[in-house]
Amino acid sequence: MKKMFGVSAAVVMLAFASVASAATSSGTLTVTGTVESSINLTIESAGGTTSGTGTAAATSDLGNISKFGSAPTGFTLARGASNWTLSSTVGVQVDKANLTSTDYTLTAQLGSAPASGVAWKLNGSTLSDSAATTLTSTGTYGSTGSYSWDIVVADSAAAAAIDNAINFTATSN
Amino acid sequence: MKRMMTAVLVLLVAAVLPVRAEERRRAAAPLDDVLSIVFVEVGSSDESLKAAGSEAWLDLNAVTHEGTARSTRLRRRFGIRIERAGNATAGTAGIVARLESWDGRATYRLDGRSLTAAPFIVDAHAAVGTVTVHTLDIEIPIEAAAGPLSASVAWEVNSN
Repeated sequence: MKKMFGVSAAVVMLAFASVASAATSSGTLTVTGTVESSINLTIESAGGTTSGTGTAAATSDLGNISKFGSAPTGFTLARGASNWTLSSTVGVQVDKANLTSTDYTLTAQLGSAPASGVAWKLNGSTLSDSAATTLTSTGTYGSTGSYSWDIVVADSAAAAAIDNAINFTATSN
Repeated sequence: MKRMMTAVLVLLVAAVLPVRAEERRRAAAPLDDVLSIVFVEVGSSDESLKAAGSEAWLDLNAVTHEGTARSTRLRRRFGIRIERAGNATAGTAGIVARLESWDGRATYRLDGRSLTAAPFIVDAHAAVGTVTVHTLDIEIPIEAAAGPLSASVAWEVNSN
């Protein structure tokens, strides 16, 4: 009989234990999206008084230039028989993100036709505004590539502004 | 006498242990102690979070790395409100969260703490009926492969 009461008590306690258990609720926060591959080109350096380095849109001011004047900041001046050349370098860096590509191709093209008697050269190749010139097809991501930059001015060129833009395009291989 | 006791026992067991699970749940939590978790959108500018009761979807859409940092970092804020049946607002509840599944592309931090498969206490004493705002930081290293991003964060509230 005692044993029976014992069992009854245990059952009753079990019942209370069940009623007193904590209330629980759950929820879910689902996150979705798509990670896209990307590359980022920055102009790291250039001759002249340069602003905007470290971004994709740098500006280089050469000031007033002439054959028998002094070279602009960051440039050297070489005088030829019938022309003169300003020489410097342009540093271009391409970074990649979420991309398996191991190298890239870099091209350059002038933004507008150069002034008559003025030639813009990168890595020895004359640039035009009608077609892109390949500077490298094996660019290394994450390091600055240095490209020689020459502006060749004929003695016959009229005194005028030589303003132009060099548009770089990097394409992952 | 023994028969009577047996009958008493049978009645007790029948009363205490309901046959159906639904009934068992009702017995475990009195009606006024039934909690529910509700996601709440905060910030009108963030339209990437859609909340519907205890479920919420955060769609980051296309994630493209910008700048020169070694990872892409995204931050989203959202609110959580714990509701008690009968609109009762008294008391507090504990909130626990864990990363239920993820694709491995990103790491997640909730309120500054790393989210992993192990549950962690987000708030041990969250006031019932009050919206608490939480921050989810998502970090995708630039080395991560492009592709779909998918994670599920499981939340649990327990009455104190």
